[in-house]
Amino acid sequence: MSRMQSTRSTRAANGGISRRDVLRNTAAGGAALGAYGAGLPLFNIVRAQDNKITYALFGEPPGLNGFVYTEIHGNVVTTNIFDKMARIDHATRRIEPEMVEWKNEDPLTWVLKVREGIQWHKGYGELTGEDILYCFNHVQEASTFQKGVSHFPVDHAKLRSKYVVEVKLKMPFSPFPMVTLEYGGSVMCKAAHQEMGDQEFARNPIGTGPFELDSWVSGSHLVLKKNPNHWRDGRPYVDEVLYRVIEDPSVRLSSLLTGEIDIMPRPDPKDTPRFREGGEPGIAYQSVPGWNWDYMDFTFPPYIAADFPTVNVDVRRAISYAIDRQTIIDEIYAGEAIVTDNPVPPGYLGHRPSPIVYPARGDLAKAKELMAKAGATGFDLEVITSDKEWLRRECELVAAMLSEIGINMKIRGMDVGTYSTAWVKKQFQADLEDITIVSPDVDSTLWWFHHKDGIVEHGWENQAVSDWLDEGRAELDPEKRTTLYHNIVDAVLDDCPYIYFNHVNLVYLLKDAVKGFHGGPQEHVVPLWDVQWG
Amino acid sequence: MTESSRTHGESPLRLAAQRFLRHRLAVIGGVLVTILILSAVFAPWLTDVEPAKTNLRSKLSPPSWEFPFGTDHFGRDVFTRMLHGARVSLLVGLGVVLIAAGIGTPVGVVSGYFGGRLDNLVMRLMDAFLTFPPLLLAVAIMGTLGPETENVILAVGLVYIPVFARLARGNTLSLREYTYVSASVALGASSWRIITRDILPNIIGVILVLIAVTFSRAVIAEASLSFLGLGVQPPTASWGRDLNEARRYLEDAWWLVTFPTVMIALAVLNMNFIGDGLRDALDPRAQD
Repeated sequence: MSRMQSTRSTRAANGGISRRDVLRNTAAGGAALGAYGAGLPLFNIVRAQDNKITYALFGEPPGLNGFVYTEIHGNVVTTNIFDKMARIDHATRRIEPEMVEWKNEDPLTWVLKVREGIQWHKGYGELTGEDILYCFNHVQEASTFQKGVSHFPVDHAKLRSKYVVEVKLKMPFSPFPMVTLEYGGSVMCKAAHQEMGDQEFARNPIGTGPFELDSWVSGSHLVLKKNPNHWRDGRPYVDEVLYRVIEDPSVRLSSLLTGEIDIMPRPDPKDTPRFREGGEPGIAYQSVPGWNWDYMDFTFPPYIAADFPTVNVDVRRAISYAIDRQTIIDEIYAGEAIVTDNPVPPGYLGHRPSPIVYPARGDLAKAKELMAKAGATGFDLEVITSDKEWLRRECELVAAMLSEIGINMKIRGMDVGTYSTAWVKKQFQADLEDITIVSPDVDSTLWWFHHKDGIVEHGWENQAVSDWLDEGRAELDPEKRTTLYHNIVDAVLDDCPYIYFNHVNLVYLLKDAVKGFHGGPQEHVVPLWDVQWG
Repeated sequence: MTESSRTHGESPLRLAAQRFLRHRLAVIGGVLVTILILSAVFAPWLTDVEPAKTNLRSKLSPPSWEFPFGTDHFGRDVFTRMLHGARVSLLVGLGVVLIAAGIGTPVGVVSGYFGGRLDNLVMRLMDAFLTFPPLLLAVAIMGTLGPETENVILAVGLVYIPVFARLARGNTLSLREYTYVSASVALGASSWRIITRDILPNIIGVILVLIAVTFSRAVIAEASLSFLGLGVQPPTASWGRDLNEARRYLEDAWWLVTFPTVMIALAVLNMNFIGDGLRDALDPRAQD
């Protein structure tokens, strides 16, 4: 037992306090009272003294291994544990090197140069090309989800030297840095992953990011400690991040107002107006236009009977006309969203002011006319959705809208795992969900959903659209790309395999004294290394 | 007329009915539950508004002549939703007691009457079920089956089967030692005849009491599962789901949380009063 421990134990056993304790506590109390008297919220002083930040997650991460789990909550945490090969600068919408710099030697050869001197957490040594190579190989060997979404053009990778990796592609792929190195660019420590395996690694992740996992109590909280060897100069600024799992938005809000947490995402939209209008002193409001969309999509034969009403294009168009998009924004998101009828948000190449075809307030007469033309005189439509409460509410509102054209919508809420399986395996009639776009390249908001080989294309086969998508991916001239993507969007608007509702702003509430927090447009990416107490 | 001559002159059923009617709370419970059942059955005729019909211009309106129970955040009529919610709750209650009593009672009687290894096997299985807290087990079953009204009935019904089986077995074990049962055995009556003629009629009283109690528990279980998002799916009206949604407006719209709570309390309390009345009425020791 050390001397310090011994002294503390003796003092505690005696039940007494030292003169130093009295002086320290008096000084701290005096400072806190002084601050309170000066109108500063007491809890900010306490947090600033601790130099730690508490962030409320609105769900429990299933794991912290980016090669196994793809949901929001785990990614919010791993943003701060793992670095990526490249990272999107949300402000400029450009891709910036993080762990590697890249060079395109020929259309099929990319050379990655690893940043030297980056250290793995907890003494696992230095990051080298071996780790990068290991991750490229792991995606192929374990067929992780990256294989289908970001690594599909990769033929193989090999080590040129300790810090240089060569990646050979099967086909030219211009979004390689944006999609493969950023979205699919998680890097895990080879030695740690080999030692632990997938599941253990997901509970004890070893990254190179600004924070390392200290402890995790399931269903309650996770603690990240500052990585003292982090490569970003002077960062992170806070010593500790405490993630508390608080699913209920009203509990998140009361936790913020009582000072138990410092930053919260997703306040209940009914509460947002009073914060937006600055009604709560000491609380700041951030609203970021999201790279996302809310949508409804359908399955097509062979995943659904050929005579099912939604296979008829007029029924799908009728549904799109029956949707009052503005009401969804007003009632579900308290105005924190923008209307759209297509998947290309503002800022993306090929964006056009929305709505393009389907009116923001809907057109019920046109919808009824199309239903009559289709001969669809009322039917049951089962719509799946995941367990996000705002989507359940949106489903109820959409159900009421569709009942006006004789569609009896049956809502089937599912936990996120069951939902994802049903969605990817195309085991549903219709689906109402939201999704975050993984990169600022327009390819990522269209290809997976509308190309005949896209993993979430549900049987809608349009050869022209698939060809345009392939062409757009290989084309470098922005004007030519724009034309191609306009063609694609027009075809989607005409045939309605997906029906788009809105792009939702991401809203955060935080204490005024928290500086350097910028919630990005992607809900799963929440960096905290620039955050500090002001 | 003396007490003795009165009891000798009337059927046990009539006597039980008289005792039930003397139980004031049970009578009140019976009347209110009857009103609730009739309201649920005739809901489409009592209100011409669709329970899922939104009316955003009237959202969050307090109770008034137009909207007796007010409206919710989508402007839906809360009175209509309460009536239609009663349909779901009562349907679930009925379905649950049919499954639980319909399976649990015969299983318990057969197990108790034959005893031996069969009894051991069946009762250990029932014990295994009973080790789980009922709601937790229902949540687990719902997680597997998916959120549908039929699945709520099945899940909660399965949870209560062991409760009926245990009660039926205990009473059968006691009854099979009675001399009239021994006499039936001595006269060569078949097991089927003894179970259906000698045992079942004599345990029906306690089973009826348990049915009343289970019905009220099923109503709570449905409300709880729906509150958790595992029960009846929107836009179908459900007291539990509406109560969950009402939490958001606790400070702004008192009527949203009040009416589902009152409806659940009314249904549960009055079914329990009926259960109490039945217990007193059917208990042979309470004759005097």
